[in-house]
Amino acid sequence: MNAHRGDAVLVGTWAVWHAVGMLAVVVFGSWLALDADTTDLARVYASPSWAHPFGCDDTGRDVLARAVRGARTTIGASLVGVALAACIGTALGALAGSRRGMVDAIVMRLIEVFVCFPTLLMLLLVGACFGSSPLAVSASFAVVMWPSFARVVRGELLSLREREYVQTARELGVRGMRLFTGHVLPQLRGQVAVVAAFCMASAIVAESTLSFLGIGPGPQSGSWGAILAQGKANLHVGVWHLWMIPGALIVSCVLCCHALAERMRPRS
Amino acid sequence: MLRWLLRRLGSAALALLGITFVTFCALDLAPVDRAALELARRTEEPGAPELSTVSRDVALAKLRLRYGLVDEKTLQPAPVSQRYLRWLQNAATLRFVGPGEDPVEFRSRIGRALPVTLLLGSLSLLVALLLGVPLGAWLGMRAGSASDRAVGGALLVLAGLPDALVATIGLVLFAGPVFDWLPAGGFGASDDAASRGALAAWIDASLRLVLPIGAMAIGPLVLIARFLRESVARTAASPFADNLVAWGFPEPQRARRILRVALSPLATLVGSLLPMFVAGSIVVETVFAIDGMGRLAFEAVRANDHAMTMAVTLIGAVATLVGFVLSDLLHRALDPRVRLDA
Repeated sequence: MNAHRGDAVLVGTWAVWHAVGMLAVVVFGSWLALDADTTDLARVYASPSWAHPFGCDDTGRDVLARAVRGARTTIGASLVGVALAACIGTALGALAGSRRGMVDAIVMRLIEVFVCFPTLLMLLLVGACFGSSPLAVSASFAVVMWPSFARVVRGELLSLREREYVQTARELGVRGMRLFTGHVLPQLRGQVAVVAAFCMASAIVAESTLSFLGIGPGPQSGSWGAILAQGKANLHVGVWHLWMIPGALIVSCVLCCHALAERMRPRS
Repeated sequence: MLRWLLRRLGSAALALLGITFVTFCALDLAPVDRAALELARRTEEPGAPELSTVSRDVALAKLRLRYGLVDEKTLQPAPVSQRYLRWLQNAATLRFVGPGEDPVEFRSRIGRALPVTLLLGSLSLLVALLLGVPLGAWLGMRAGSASDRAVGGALLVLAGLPDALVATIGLVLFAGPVFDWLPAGGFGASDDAASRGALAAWIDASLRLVLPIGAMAIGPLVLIARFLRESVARTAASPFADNLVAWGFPEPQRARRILRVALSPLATLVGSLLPMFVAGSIVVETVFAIDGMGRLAFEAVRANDHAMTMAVTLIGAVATLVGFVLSDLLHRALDPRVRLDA
């Protein structure tokens, strides 16, 4: 049992450091001044080396520099999208959970509609219609992911409103917005954070899939999915690093999100 | 039972209406002038006559009229509600295209793609169930042991793999660089294999299906295994399982009874897996060059093919809704406790 706990702590620590490292790359990546665009036919398909730790792609561009730029698009777009989804979802879920009646019914029907929607199809649709800038991708994530937040927040609210401390606060005269932001919202933080971590994982996968298919924020942005697509296209040449590196980056980020969700799960 | 089913179908129909509206909005609000796009495509074709400004305007107006973008009488831009109702009317009668295009050809494109995807999807679901259920049950019976933790960790990693990466790894391992055992794509037997008789053609066609099915099945498989592990472990720790011990049932019988109880919530999961298969088919069919619904959807979205995108989205949504209703039905049939709530 003790060893089990030790594992969990170790994984949690790794996840936190991984997340911090990735965020640092996203925020400060441009300071590294890596050259992601220079093509050089002499180093086409070059394997990882000291000069190019991640190797070079099919036109001789440095994959490390492209992966750093890709982190900005992949993680940046996912973060903004999940944050938007969390705001919309929490607001609608809170509305449904506190007003009940007609509002509740409408929001629940809306959630049902969006849950039945095949996610990737929705993303393709929105992506094709509103262009493929990172912002458009973020907006489409918000459209697809808000129901997860709304459902959790609504369910929690329904159980919280029956709790004694909320009823006491209400009897003491705390009402409306104040009751929600001051007394209920802090209790929801943990749940929302867990949903956000899971949504972040699926957003990273979705963004990579979109760029892999060639619909995401474009090959110029160096998104991880785009590098993976390059790797897949050049399989016959026998280059390994071109698909392994973006693949490992995507998988490690997804695992990091799952581990963070596990760590943040409220213990009851 | 009948009343429950009617209510369930009613809410599904409402959701379907909502889905059509959301799809319509997503396509209709897009800042793309389809008439101008179509005209540009036509004038770029080799041998197309040069258009004067007047004939260009006439052609644009005709296209807009055909797409229902303008009102037939006033020739002013039609309001959104009118365009939506018109589209809904067409969709209800399976006429997804404008009056000038060929609905028969349009339907035959879907008719060719749909069986391919249905075959892929149902085989993948079968594989996921055949492997996922025993694996989940085995893990659940050993919950907390070293083997459970090791396999559980591996499943967690697998759950994080995007379909695109799974397909790429499959190609690397089995279609060239490592083992050159399987063909890298396509659907149905090649001409070469077909010329060597029915058996060779059949073998070739099934070999081509191995990688796509594997890539599509792995996500649902992991979900099923992890879900069932939780369910079995929970049931095995419940008073119900203690009761079986107290009654003196031998181990194999106990395991069978626990499994029977733990399996019933799986029915709801299988229904909610359907959107995953729709998404999986888009990636997998594109990677393995299979002409199914996923590829049709992908190409339609890329080519700004308004009518086809709508049709494919609608079919995907209907399939998902039917899956939800069926899994609810199955869950009620398997688990008497659910019936008590209604």
